[in-house]
Amino acid sequence: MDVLQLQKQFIDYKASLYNEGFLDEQFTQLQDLQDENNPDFVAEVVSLFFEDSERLLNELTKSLEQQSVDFKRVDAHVHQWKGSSSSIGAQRVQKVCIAFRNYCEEQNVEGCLKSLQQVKHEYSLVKTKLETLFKLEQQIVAAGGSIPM
Amino acid sequence: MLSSGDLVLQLINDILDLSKVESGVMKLEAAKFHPREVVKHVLQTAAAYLQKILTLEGEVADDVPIEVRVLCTHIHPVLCLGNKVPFFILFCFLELYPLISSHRRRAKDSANSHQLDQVGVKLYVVPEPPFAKEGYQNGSDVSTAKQSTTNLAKEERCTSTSQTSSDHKGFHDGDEEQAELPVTTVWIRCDVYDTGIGIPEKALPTLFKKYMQVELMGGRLTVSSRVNCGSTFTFILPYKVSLACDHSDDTDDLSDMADHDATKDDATTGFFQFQPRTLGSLFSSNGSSRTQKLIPYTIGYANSYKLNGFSEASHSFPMINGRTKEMTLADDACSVAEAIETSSEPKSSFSHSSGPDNESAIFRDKHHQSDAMFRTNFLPQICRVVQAQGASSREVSNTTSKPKILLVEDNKINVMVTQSMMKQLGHTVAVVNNGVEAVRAVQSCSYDLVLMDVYMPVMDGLQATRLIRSFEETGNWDAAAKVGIEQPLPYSDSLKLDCRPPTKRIPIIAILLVPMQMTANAMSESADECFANGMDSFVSKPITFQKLKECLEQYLPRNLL
Repeated sequence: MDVLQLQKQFIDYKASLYNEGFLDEQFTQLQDLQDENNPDFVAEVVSLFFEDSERLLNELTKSLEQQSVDFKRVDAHVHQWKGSSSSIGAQRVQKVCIAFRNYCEEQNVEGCLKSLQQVKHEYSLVKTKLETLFKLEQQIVAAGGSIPM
Repeated sequence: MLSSGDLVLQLINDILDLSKVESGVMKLEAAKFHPREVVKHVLQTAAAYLQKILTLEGEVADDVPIEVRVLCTHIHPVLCLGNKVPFFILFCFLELYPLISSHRRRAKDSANSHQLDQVGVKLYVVPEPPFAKEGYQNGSDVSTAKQSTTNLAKEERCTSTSQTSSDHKGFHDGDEEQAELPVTTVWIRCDVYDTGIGIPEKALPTLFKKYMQVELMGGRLTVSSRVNCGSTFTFILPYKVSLACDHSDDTDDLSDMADHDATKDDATTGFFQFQPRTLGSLFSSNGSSRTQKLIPYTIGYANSYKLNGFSEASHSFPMINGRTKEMTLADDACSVAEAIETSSEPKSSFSHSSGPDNESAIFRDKHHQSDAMFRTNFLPQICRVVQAQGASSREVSNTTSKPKILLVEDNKINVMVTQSMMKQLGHTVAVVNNGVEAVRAVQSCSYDLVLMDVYMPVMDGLQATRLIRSFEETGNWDAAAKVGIEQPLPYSDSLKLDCRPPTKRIPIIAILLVPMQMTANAMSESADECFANGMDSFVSKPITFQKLKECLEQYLPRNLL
């Protein structure tokens, strides 16, 4: 595929992520922070987000497996995840976290477990999509082109 | 010799004279507002600066209560903004005066006008406007409200200089005693008018963007302007009046008082007038001898503009994805500075930027503030912009030291994003991860600004803020010691050469995570909680570049920006 095609594919793909609500304006903010002084900023933040999310996912799974669920702890983790997902613009993850927190407040184990599944699902979706986006970027660069803004 | 920026700053500092406020001369409580006192105070202070050839007049109708409380709207997460009225008034003065002056300067002299310009403020009670019932919808829905306000505005304009409130006596509302309710709503209308040259049509939309905030306060703003007759800024806001508060029926209010030395109780006097007099020391130049005349425009028009509210009638927090345009006060700040400059010694090095390409709004409701904090947000912004305009004509005498900013945040991703944004703004931040570390950091070093996440492990932001404020108030760290944070080492032992122990109140800004569906009430409660614990303002997550920029502009001392 030539550069122009790759670039078009990239643009379309990125647009779809916004349109489908996977990403929101905050992600654009991150991109704006990337410059010559900070050329890998977005990739760095995103990988940090992935790491942090895996950790939180583990913690949440463990906490919800307990006999007696410590909802405060669960809530604290969800709050963290909500914060970080909002900071990078992972809108759908953030939305699920909101519902998750409501279940925590209600001390509703069923609801929490359901939310856990949902957030896991949304997280893996956005992870895949972001990885695809980065791959497209790499392909463009490899083909000698520049990444369209 | 003072620069234009300095003059405005002086004006603002006077009005904001915190010692006066804190000693009780003028109380700006978080929720209460004494219209007469405030109008008088603003006018008195403004008179010193703007009175060169203007008559300044203020009038508060009898039926405006002595004390009102702000109505926090149920739609927007707005906190106690009623006390912004005085600053709004002041700002209107600042807007009108230079416009008058600059238009005069550009127009040719005419021999036949002896009319003195008059700038004034009127407050009076009006019936609940139609838009109140409709909620906050598109401008087109409230055209009737617009009509009524601009019609009223037209009535006032082009009339004699001594305007009394008798024109508006017909409006009585809200302060009727309703025995079954503890509190009633009063709609107060404020007109800030000038009888001068009027605002040119093209300037009006620009001005309006600044007043967007009024929409959030549950009110409406209109401006009408007719060339040669002048212009009027009008806003109507709802206020609460507790029935226990009785208002004066003192009809002496309406008598023409030539001198501003009120012999009556400030709380009840409703009419103030400041006649022109030759200015003394402030405008240190030859300018006072120039006669400024009212110059008619050759093109006549009458237009009224209404500021439309937010286009979505949103019940959710509208600010998460900040889409509002950046706007500068370039034109207007230039005018302010320029106008004041024209009355001081002529200075040439003043660049007048032409187009409203990049404008930054004075009123940004991204940070919802209580009254007590508004004074530190609104006017410093004017100052800053004016100073920026005047910077070229002043020698830079300020030390350009870097501000010390502390970020208290436990989330690594947020830290990374915030740090990067700060870097783009030209600042480095120190980072700690919980409330205890924050207290320790503040104990050992004087920060110019603290960004404090609220929910953190070990110790949350609210408690950390309380401890810091306790130190600022008492001068000791006993409260911190009680919860196990050891006393800091004496200053002399500190290895950090550029750190001093805290000597002044540090602005502490909460970082609040605002869920998308958070109701205004919940939002307001969270923010209230922050303020109750001593925080000054907040930024909402996700933190954007723009939010940080505004926050810094509001809270960092000018010389550190």
